[in-house]
Amino acid sequence: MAKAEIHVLLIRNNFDDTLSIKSILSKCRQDLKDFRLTSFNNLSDAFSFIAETNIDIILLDFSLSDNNRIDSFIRLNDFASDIPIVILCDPDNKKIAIEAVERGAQDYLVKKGIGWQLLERVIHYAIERKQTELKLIAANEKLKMLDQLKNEFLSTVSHELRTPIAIMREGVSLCLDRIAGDITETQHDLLTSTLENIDRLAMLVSDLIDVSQIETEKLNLKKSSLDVCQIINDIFEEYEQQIHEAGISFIRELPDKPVRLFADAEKIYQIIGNIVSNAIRYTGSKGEIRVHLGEKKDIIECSVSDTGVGIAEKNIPKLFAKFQQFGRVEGPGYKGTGLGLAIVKGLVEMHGGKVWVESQLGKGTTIRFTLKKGPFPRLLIVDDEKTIVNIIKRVLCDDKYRFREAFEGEEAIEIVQKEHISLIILDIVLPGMSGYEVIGRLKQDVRTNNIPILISSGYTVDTNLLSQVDIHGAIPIIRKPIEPVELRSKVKKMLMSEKTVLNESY
Amino acid sequence: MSQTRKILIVEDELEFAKMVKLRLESAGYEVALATDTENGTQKVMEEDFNLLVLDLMMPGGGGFALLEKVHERPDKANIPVIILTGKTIDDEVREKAKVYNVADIILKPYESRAFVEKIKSLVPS
Repeated sequence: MAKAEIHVLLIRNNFDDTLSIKSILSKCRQDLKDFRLTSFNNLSDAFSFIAETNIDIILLDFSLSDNNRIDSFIRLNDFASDIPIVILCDPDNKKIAIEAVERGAQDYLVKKGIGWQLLERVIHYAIERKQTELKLIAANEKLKMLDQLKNEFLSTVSHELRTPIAIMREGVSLCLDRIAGDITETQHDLLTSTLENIDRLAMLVSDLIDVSQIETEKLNLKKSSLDVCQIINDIFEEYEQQIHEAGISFIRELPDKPVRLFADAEKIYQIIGNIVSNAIRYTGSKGEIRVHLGEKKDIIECSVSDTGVGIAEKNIPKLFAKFQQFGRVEGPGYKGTGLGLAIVKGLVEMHGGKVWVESQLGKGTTIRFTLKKGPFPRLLIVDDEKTIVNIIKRVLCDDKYRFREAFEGEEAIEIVQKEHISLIILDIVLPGMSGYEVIGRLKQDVRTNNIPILISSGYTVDTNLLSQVDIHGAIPIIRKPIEPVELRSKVKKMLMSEKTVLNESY
Repeated sequence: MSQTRKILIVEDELEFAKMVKLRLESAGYEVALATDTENGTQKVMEEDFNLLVLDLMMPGGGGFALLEKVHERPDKANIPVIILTGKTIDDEVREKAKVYNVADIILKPYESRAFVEKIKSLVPS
């Protein structure tokens, strides 16, 4: 791999530098290798040269008089991303040279007093480091691509599996339900375990699809305002019979007021449901499961503790990995897929939370997780009548959203430009600037044209005028007097369907 | 509409279609089968059905392609529809289902008794 010649490209601003570098390089030549030097005094000439020649290394002189040294470096580094760059600088601009190194330059040299040995060593190491870097990047890209391929494969295969599973399930069910004729007790038992295992397979497929969607970040969260207490109660209802049959006592320690999150309700249900069903599975009769929910400023903390078999300390770090099951339940009955907690971890992290476990073998396990409460959508209500503003706030329920109010158009526009607003509820008839004008101004501004607007109006909305200010003509309208159910569902739907950007800082 | 309580199943997996037919016949319905979109569309146009059970991915465009054609006929547009699919139910599917007044989208594999209950709630047998 050693080449006979190393082609050095020097980009400098005065000719003397070329001469001195040339003379230094010529000394190296006697010792080890041939160096070929080409020099340019501006970037664009250098670019065209790089495009058509094989360059081994670039020396970029930072004693250039202009102020855009870092910009020049970035442009050069982007253009010649596979060629190592070494910065040449004067003692007084070393600082910028170091910044360039942080941004991807291989090294820097202070021009005064460069000896040939130093220059030669720097060049060799720079080339070698760059090659290693490029190999790493390529290997990493390949890995990413393979991982993507694996996930796509997984997802396709899983979908293809659903139909044959459905056919097997229906066939067995028809026999079990005696629709296809009478069966003996032994046949019934055999078919029952067949059905249970078909369901286990179905569960595995559905968990695999979840995992591959989480890993490929294809899962879109459908966020809405929800109450975690309500979800825990619903989960209890779902498992009530199972808990009762297992002789387990289920204790709920929940705050007596709703605990609001702006999150994906289905996924939160899946997180807690998965943890609870695990706890049931590993807790024997007369055992106890305790669900505790607490809230802090911006987060909620929830824990599910059981008095079950527990997990050995050495296994705890593996708990959230895929296909890890400890204390597998033997014999017939429900078996897990080994993916439940991996899904839990993925979903918790997608909601800005963390999940961890405390466990003692033989004593029980506590799984604890946090979730971010928000960010809650910020709604701007623009209406000149204070009573209407209050009605809207009351209908939408104060603790579900954050509200801003404006009584006229100019004020509204100012708020939307300065603050982060997720949705605007806009009255058409306003003092001064009309609602149509407000829409026009917001739609013209790239900073504000994506914010969803809901028009509230007591009068017939002039669709002609509306289509003039909004070419897409997709602004929904709600009639006054406002119908509470309609308002709630429209706002919820708009916040869910729009790719609402919720700024973390609010 | 007639008093037949007739259900049409449009599903390209014939074995599966036959099983669903058997299940629904035992619940007291009269059941017809079609195994592709075109054949299914033709049957809907020619005969009267009280309910359609449709697969989404089939030769000829699938359940939504069938519904698009059927909805051109005002007298056919109000037949209740249940979709049975092995494909993940995403937003696109949900949106389309809303457009065609689909009563339910059921993911395969499903619990048969719940499926029959759903059908009974739409078409009392």
